[in-house]
Amino acid sequence: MQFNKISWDIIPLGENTTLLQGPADIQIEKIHESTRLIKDMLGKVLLDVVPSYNSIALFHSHEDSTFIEKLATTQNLSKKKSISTPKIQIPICYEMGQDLDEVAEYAGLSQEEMIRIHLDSIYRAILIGFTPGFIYMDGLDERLACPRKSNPRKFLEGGSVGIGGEQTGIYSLASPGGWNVIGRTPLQIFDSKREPPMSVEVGAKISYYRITKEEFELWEN
Amino acid sequence: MGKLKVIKAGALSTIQDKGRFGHRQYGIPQSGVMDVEAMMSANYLVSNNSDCPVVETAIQGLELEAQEETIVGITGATVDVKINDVTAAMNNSHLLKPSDILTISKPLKGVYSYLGIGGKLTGNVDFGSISTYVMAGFGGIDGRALKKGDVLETRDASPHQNRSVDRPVQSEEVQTIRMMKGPEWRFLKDLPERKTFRIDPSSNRMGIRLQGDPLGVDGKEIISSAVIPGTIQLPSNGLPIILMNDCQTTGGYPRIGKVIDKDLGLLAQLSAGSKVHFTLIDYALPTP
Repeated sequence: MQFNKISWDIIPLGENTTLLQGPADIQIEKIHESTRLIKDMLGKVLLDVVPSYNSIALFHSHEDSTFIEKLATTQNLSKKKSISTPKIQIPICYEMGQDLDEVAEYAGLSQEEMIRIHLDSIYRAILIGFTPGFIYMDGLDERLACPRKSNPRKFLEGGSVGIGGEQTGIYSLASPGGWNVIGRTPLQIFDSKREPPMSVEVGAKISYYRITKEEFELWEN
Repeated sequence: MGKLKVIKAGALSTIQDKGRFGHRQYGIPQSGVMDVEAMMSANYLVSNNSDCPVVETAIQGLELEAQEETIVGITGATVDVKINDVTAAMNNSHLLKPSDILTISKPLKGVYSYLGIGGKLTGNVDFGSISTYVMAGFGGIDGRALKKGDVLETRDASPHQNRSVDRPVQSEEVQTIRMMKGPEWRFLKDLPERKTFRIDPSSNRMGIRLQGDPLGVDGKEIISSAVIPGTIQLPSNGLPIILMNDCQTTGGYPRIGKVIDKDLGLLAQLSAGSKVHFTLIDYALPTP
């Protein structure tokens, strides 16, 4: 099927779930853009739309596949809805990163050098998944890459900012986790009483600004 | 009205309904009862709508004290049910009087038992569902499993009627589970239908692991992509994992197939060591 100038394979993932499988080398921007277009067009018809790196899973009502026809017959997607990329600034307290020393040591940097490098980069939300609200991001400076912990922690506080190999991400909610925690944000990225519950969406550009432990505590109160 | 106070609760006693839908894009799992048909029967027994919340219990049992007149019905895994130390029938409705003690034993056959309670159970509703998801603290009572001292309360109960259901008895034979092909079916070097597996004891609400003669698989991992309850993942050790209600939203193992929704309850009720065998069904999206 052609949609948004991309050729997709249509593969059943379940009775009520259909996978739009894009080309293996598709750019993540195209996945995010197509996801938004699908939500715009079919938000009321589909129950859920779950993008990942090179595919989009569509959750639909029992045995209703008319949405595929709708996608396939859509021509000339309007350009006027040029979608602006959301930019988000996230406060981070490095003093609350229990693995900051380890990551800095692994990188052969001082903690302050490491923090400066971390603050200088712009990150991008790639995928939400694994656990509720977990955000996978790219954009990590390769000097800060650090292998996952050999013994995952049973409990990480919500807001923990982690590095796992070359990937980085935020544990929006408390959960077990195996990534190195370099800091924590007091921002409530995931709130189950909010609709939508996430204040960060895939595709968003993320930058961090530094706060002290005192500021963190003030923020929380 | 119905009101039951928890005297004792095994670690895996939770409030569940059919689950939460529409929020996998935020990483939120479905949760919900592992055996939908047993849940619907439990609700029928107590004259509820079929999708009312129930209490799911596994491994250990449950002991409750009625604090008001309360209609109850127990279905699912075979258990010993007692009311004030007198044996009471499963798959039947019972009217408890204040201070009656209801005891549900650990499962004797099967895995998940369901307690239907007349009326609509109250508790935390997150993302449209009361289903308990302990890891993120959603639903149930404060997002956790039941514990001593909790009070289960229902609203708007219908009057008690004597009701019973005929539930199939779990067979000792090899259980046949129907599956459809998944996106990475082509990674398989063997046909899963040719093998018989056993249920691994580490199986839980997140997934059911199988033991046995491994399946040959080409390719190790895929780039993370969507998974759903029923997805059959095949790690490089060749032993399938069937994802269940509390499973994560994305995964990196090849998805060789999916157990059809209708057979998930049957699969969930197979206890450790039970034998299982797949049969492949054709599935295609209906063409408009």
